[in-house]
Amino acid sequence: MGRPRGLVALLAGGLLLFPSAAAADTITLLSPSARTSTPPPLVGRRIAGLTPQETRFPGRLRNVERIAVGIDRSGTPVGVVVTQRLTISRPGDFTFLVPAPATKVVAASGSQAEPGLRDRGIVWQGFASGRRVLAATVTLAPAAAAALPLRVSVERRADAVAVRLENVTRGRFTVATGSVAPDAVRGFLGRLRREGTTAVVPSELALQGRATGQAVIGVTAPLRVQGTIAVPGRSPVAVSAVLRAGQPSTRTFVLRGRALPTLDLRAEPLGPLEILPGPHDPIPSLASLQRVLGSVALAWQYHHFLDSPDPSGSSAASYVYRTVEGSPVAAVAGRSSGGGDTLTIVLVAVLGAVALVGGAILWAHL
Amino acid sequence: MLKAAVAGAVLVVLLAGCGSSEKSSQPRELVIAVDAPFSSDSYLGTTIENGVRLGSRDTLLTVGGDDYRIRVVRYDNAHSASRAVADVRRAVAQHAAAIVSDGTGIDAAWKIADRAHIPIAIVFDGGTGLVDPAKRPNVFRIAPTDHGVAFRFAEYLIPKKLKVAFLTDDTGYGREGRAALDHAFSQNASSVAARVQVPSTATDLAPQILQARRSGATALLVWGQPSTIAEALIAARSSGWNVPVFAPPSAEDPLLRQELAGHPEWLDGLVFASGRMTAEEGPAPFMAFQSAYEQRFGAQQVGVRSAAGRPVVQPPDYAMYPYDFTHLLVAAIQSAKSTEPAKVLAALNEVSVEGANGDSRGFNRINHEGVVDDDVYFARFQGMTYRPVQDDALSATLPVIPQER
Repeated sequence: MGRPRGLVALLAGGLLLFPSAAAADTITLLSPSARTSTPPPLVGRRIAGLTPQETRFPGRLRNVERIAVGIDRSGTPVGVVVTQRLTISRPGDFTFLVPAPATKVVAASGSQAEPGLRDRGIVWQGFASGRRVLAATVTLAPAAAAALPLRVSVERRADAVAVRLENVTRGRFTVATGSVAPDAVRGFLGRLRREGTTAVVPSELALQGRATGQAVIGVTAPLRVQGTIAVPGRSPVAVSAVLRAGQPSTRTFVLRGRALPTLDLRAEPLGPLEILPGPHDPIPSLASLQRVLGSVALAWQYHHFLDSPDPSGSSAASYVYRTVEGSPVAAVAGRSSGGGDTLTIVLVAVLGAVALVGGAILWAHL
Repeated sequence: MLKAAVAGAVLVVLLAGCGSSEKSSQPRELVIAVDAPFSSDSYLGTTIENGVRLGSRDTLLTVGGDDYRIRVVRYDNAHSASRAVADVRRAVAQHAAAIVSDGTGIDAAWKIADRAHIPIAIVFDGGTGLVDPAKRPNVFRIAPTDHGVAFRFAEYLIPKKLKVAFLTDDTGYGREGRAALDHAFSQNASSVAARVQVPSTATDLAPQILQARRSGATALLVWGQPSTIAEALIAARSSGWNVPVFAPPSAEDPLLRQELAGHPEWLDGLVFASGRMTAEEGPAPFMAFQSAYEQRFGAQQVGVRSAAGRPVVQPPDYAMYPYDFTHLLVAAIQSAKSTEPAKVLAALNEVSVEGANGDSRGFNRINHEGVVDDDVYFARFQGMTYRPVQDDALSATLPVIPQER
């Protein structure tokens, strides 16, 4: 009896160390290009019953975005303008729509086609005889500011001013839980680092291991923030920080004096290779791996503030926050096309109520 | 007693309201007015009308509980702006859902339609100033623009190191073309050898051709009515000048080939620009459209024979544009869920349809052009038929559309 017990103990110990040897469950990893249901990418106005816009382009598209965020002295966004450059590299027809709550669009410098504007977003159509740059400068509706990754707040404290930078990227994913062999994780991570995170096919996300169920995880997209905080008469304070990825999600800079500063900051979501564990880092557990993949996926979303029709094409976005005077959003809101309808509805409702009350009074006096 | 009377009156009103929402047994009519030069350019007028008729055939729209059929009403503007204005007034009086025009008189007529929020679709004239979404929100166009044609010519001709003489006629079409060419070639003035305007009524262009030849031109770009292009070719070739000749979409008009029927070799080599008939997915959509067109209206006979001796037919490419606009109008009405002109006008900026050539067709809030500049291709005549050139990136990808029967 002693020998079998010893054998069972040995096997159990082996299973703990090498779970894949004991179970043939398939664990599906989170795709590094998975998307949460919340923006970014931004969406345009939803119109029921409208035929979807055809999407066609040759080869791969390269997407580069610069999101210019005008902030007031308190750090509140007052306007968001995106310059998006999509580069086609092969000859062929192109026709697609980039969803966006856009109020205005113009061709950006260097664009080799003219963008169009619809309620649902920006439309592109034409023929590329080879390399072709489609560049648009897009003024967004004020609501787009809710999808920005960095929150800036400036407040006075006694004889100082505090500038608080907070990574507000938040994503939730449902992931498989359990355990997988370290070698499988190592191999998977090596492949991601070599081949890129957008080239992953579903079959590569399936690892053998021991499944225990599912869990919802919350992740952030790590941001690199660089730039300056300037107060008149003093040297600017340099900002260089990574918010999250093992670091705090908030940084506060305290400046002496009462003068409100001028900010010039650039925030960029880290790239996949910066988020994934390096080849010499410890092999993560399945739970840690899923969390890392969630961060990669969310960062990838923030590299698509405006979407690209090619989800597998390269994409890079930088968010530039600058203090501006005035409030361009107020001016834009004044021209909102939805305002007219709202006013009409309110007027009809009020007039209807007046008519009802009047009718009731008249009825009572008949 | 008084209360009973009031209650009764209210009931009657309510019942009447309910009755009005019931579906009527007979479909109502939605009028599409076609304003085109039927008497002065029968080919163009008929092609536009046929495009609308084909696009609206068998269309039964249900909007707000009512069924609608499309009725096509034709007006002849005879290329006269004043007649076009009168036609638009009549179309407005008929509560037309849209006006489809070759472009004649739109500068004067668009405001009349705009006051009634009636969209106008230009399906031939490419004049630059005709369409402006900010100033003329009710004017749309599905046709190659002069701007697009001129810039594509600049893109095509300048690298060939040709010295081009512009020969433009004195019609609105010719003057608009001249302006577009001047703009397109403004950065490469050395590529332009001469700018010669010719009278559209002239029957002998020998002096103007001589002027162009003496300017050192190594190419002619003739922008005018088909008869002007024919006269230019006759003058050049009969004088022994075998200069390469280029032309805008009007060169497709059967009239040009008819006028040169006695000397088909004089037309050989003429390169013209036009909107492409096929998209990347191939010729199938256009061939299906052409088949439907020919079944309904018959083939468009050019009246000449090919080098192989077979009758030549003209592909109905300029019928594609009114056909596509009609489909866009229907899509806009369906999207707006209303036939109210202002709502339909707004919806036209938001909808797309698959065009007769397989391409996505549509407008948007800042661009009312349904044919993008990229869609302009070049074709070369040979033996009274034409095929896409091979020395242009877009054209080289396009198939040959059969033109012999």
